[in-house]
Amino acid sequence: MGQTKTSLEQETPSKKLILVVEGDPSLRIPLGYLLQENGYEVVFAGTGASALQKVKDHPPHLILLETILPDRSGFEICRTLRSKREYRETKIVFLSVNDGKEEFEKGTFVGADACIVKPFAMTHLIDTIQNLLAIK
Amino acid sequence: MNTKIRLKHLWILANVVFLALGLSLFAFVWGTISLEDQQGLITILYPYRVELISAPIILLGFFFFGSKWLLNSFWIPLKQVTEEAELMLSGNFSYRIDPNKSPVFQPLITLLNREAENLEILSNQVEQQIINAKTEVEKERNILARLIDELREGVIVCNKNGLILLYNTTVNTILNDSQKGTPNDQKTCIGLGRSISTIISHALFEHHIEELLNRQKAGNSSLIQHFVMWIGSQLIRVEILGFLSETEVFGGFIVVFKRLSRKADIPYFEQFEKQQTIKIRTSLASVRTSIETILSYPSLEESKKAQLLSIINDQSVQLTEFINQNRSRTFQDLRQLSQQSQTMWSLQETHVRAWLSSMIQNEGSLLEISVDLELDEEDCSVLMSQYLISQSLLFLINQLKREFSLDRFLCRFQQSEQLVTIDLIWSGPVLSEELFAQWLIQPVHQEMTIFTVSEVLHRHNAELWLDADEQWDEKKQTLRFLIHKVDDRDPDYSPGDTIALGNPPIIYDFGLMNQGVKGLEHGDVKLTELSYTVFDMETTGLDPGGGDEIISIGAIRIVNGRVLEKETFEQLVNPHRSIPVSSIVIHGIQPENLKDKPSIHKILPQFFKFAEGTILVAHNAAFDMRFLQLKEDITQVYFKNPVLDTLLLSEVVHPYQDLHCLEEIAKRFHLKVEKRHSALADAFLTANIFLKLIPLLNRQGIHTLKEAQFAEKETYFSKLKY
Repeated sequence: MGQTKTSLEQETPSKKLILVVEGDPSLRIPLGYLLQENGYEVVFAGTGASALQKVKDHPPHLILLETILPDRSGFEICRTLRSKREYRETKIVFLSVNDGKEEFEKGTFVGADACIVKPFAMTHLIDTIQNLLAIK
Repeated sequence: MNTKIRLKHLWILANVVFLALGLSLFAFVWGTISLEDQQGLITILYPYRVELISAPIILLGFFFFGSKWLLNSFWIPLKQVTEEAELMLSGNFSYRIDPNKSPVFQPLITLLNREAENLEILSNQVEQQIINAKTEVEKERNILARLIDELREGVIVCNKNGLILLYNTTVNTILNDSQKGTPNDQKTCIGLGRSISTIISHALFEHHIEELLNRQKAGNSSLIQHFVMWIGSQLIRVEILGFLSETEVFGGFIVVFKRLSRKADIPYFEQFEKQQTIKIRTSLASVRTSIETILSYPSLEESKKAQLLSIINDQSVQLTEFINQNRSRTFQDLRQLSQQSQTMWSLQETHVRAWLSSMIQNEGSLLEISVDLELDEEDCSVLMSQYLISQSLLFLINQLKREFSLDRFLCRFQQSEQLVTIDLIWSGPVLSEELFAQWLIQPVHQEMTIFTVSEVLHRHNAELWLDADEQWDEKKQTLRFLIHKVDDRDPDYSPGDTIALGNPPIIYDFGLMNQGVKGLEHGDVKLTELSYTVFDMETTGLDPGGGDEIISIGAIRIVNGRVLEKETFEQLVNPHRSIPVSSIVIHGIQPENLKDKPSIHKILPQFFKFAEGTILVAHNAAFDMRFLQLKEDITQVYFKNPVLDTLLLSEVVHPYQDLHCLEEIAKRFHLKVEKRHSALADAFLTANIFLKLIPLLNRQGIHTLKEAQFAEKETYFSKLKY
């Protein structure tokens, strides 16, 4: 994590697209501002179905995916995406309220890149995103 | 009409007919004689007029008094003596016919009484021998019964049809404790001859029995199923043990109920706490991200800042409210959770490989679908409601079969360090996301509409998704079910410490072993095989339509021809009106005894539950039923049970007896009348009378409920209305 410093002060070199799939608007909004302030372009989805549609319409570089969505499970969405060739490289970060070991394993099982437990430190989230987007 | 009254009417009619016949004969003969001859006859017979007039009167008198004597001293006593002799010889050997009943039959009565005396001596000797023979067995059985009763676990033994043959007092204690705060009409009534499904739902019980059968077929010697379920507000670990009959099939089951301590409640508290955690963490995530964003980016637009501040404010308020609500609500919520899911939501440690192969083998043939199994060689455990997960998978298989007419698919079980996956793989048509989403919100079973596939998955923290991996053959589709493996929990659950050791003896009746569940709709069921609730009520007066009210209900059950003295219902009722002194003299219930008692609309639902599934029996039932009927509207309790009346049945078996009140019938049957006019005591007496009536009805060819009801209708008292 050393070389890809979290630098809220630094300019993020390129505008990468992040899809925030979060059912709760009270988290969606600050997350959106936070990511925008860090130089990312952000699109939102509140349900699993709209997430799949948004991915199709604007393929993102990274998806922040809540594990519990109003219509279906985040794990299922991740699995669906990973089963399609064009989304195999898209970075997927789970946002979860559960901190159990099995939750991480479930995330890994469906092919997610990281799992962050709520409530999270902003720096941790940005670090994770930056690290993942730095990997080719 | 009462037989004796009917006979008296017949006697009067006979006399009138006799008189009419005499007069008609005279008129006829007189009419055939010519007028002159009539004049001549009158002249000749006139000197004998007194004799001629008094002769027919004397003849008529003879007929009148002769027939009356015959009726009162011969016919009726003969019928009465016959009835009483039959009563005496049908097992009531201690009964004696009053020798003064009829001087005519005195020698016969003396003879019958002497014979009865001999029979009584003989019967007492036989009885004593039977008692002696039974004592040893009984002693052992009582020791065993006492041991079972003193167990801290609740024990129920039921036959293969789920009818309760035995239960100890701990079961009652567990049920009573669990149902504190539950509305009375929803409380579970446990009792001999009742179905176990009053405690464990029918489908769940059947499921575990099925599992036991499979295990037995597979030659597994351990015939035990265990799971955890909610009973009311308590978490109970249930074990079902099958016992085999001589023919190596299940003769019945022993069901053990064990209260779990808080320590063992972990899976459930986890579930509950998890829900709380989700809310708290979600709110905190919003608050924290908002604060950090504001602090880290001072240059943020004012409107955005305001929006974030408003989110912080809203979430803080919500969180405070949530915490305040939950501080006092934990247990209430758990209870609610349990009521919603009833008893279905029962977790058990399941060996996936064994469970899956047995389920697919058994159910696959029923679904008429061929299943290839690919199972991980090593078995592992998951904590799940075997029943609900099985139902969910079967539901999906069924849907696939129905939708795509599949006749074959592959079922694969794999495991990783923490997870278990079960894949349903098929070739052919593609299952659309939309259809799959629809299946998820459908109930897993028609009878359990509250359990949708999603709900079951959510409760198990499990996942299910549709996989159409492109690297595979395009035509292959997979439904993947994912569930966590079990933690190594401490299996040694310790029971709670509040169970009182039972002093009253255990309640059992193994005579029910081969009985099935008898539906009340079957009037053809034998009277000896039915279950009854015998009841009596004390009231403020005799006029239900005129405002008299029920002030006490007492009831007792009869199962398998035995009065169950321990399964009673007794309740005083506040009538919300004055009680006439004339009625207090009879029942002795003072108004001050009723002040703090519940009203009838609270009591009747309880009584309804107690009497559920049985035949109602009462003495002069029409009177009691009228009271119940008049309360139907306010209580919304409708007694549809068939009713039998000991008053009418007594008249059926003893039509020549003068009296059919409880005391008289009790006297006839040599039953001890200890205390009258307490509802429960009267119900108890009525129950014993009813049991004595059954063999006498049988002797008259009345064996079934339908026949008994038909015979009742023919009696005089049945025509009376209240």
